[in-house]
Amino acid sequence: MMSVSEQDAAAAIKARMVSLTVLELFSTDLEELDRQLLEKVAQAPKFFRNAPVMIDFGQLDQEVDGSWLEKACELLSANNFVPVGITGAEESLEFAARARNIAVWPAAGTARHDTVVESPQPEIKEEPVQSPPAPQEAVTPQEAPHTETLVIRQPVRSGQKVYARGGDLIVLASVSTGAEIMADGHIHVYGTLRGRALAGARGKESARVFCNDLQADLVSIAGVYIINDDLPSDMRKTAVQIYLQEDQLKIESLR
Amino acid sequence: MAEVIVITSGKGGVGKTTTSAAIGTGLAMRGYKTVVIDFDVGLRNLDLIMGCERRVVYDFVNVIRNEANLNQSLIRDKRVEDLFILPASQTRDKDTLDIEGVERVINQLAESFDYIVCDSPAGIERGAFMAMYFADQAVVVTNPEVSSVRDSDRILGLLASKTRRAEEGREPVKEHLLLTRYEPARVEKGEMLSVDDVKEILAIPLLGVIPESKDVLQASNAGSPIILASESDAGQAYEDAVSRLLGEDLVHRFVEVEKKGFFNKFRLFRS
Repeated sequence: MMSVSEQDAAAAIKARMVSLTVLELFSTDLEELDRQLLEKVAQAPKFFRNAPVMIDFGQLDQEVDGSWLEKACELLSANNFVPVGITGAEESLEFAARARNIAVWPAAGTARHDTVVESPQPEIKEEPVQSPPAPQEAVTPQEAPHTETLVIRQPVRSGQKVYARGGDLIVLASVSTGAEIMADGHIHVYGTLRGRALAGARGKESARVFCNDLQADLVSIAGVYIINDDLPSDMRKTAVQIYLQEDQLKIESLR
Repeated sequence: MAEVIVITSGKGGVGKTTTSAAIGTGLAMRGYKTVVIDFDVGLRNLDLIMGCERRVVYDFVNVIRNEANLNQSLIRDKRVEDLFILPASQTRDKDTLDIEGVERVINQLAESFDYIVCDSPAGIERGAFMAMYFADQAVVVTNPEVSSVRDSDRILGLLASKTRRAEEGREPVKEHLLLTRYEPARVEKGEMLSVDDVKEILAIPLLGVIPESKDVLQASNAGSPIILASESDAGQAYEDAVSRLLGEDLVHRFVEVEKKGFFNKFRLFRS
């Protein structure tokens, strides 16, 4: 028998990086959770609308049961979040989650260590929602919902994250190694790109990354990525654009 | 109004305390009333480098907790007029520092001092935040090696977001790069990052380059800030750095390999 050709295939299974909001729980107090969620959502209602949420139990020392999870999910839905999965939970809770068709991710400890590069189902942790809100040290474009281009004039330094949700990102300075910039649209870096750049973070395959000097740790477009080790040597330290063509990343000189 | 300068780096062992002692002393020598505060609670070192360890009675934590007043805790330097040290506590830990207490002490010092130099502990934990929070200027001490540069980059990110100036949306903290333990000969051999490499990555103005020097360790052990050793390269480099901090425009010295006698003669013949 011949195998099914590309054209006849009804579907293709692929690994893709997606952006996911993580809700780290520190308390089982549902009323308090509701109150703090409301507060967060009020700050940026558009930003969180229908955002998929993974609930992280890793920081929680109390045990909760299936009915608690049920209530928590209802509460998230009521606040316009879409609960899609849990992580770091007890086995019994994982069982309860599966019974409710909620995905179970490996515990944070393991998941964070196999980074985006190694994991077949990489997950990017984006932390606009935390309960209680942890101090944000990154440049925080998250505060205001951006549907237009986000322009950053300062260098994006190691440990900082910038996410242009719903639009393009322009960085007029350099992006340091250890920094992460993301956009749902295109990314332009007019300095040196040394950190991670993830364009098309919510799956837009036509997104592109442009930079003046390519030395990136990682570049991803709609989940297809390339790491620094695999960057072609003739493109390093030059001005390039990177785009997706037939599920392959193309790196093209701008000179 | 006093100017608050934090000496910070992220990474340990790059020369923060040496720099704090040198810059504090340098500013006082120019006639500015200066206090150097040791924020490294639990790992007190500044008093040793500045040679006043035997005169510590009360410390920073005592003042924060209202167990002593400022005048009891400030140690007047014996060599330089207008120079004072506020030592850290050796028996507490960094969690003892609270932001209101630190603010009160800094406000009180600001009434009578021109410069308040904050010697930050390594790391990006509480002590380091307390040291940087009230800063107007920051001297980021960096060694010419990749891990130090990355940590400095991280600290610069925090300075841009976690200081009072950043939180209040005021003019950002003025950042200065101070490259320490620099060895031009090793840079030439490609064993060490060059001034330009580091400047390119960190993208902040260069305050000075301090050459690697045996005099620094000797000065530390003797409890005498290196800037007082005016015949030493490192001491002179710190002098230049203080001048630049005060707005003077000087050419950077100690960044090229010093041509040895033989080469000098050789060049003479050729020209």
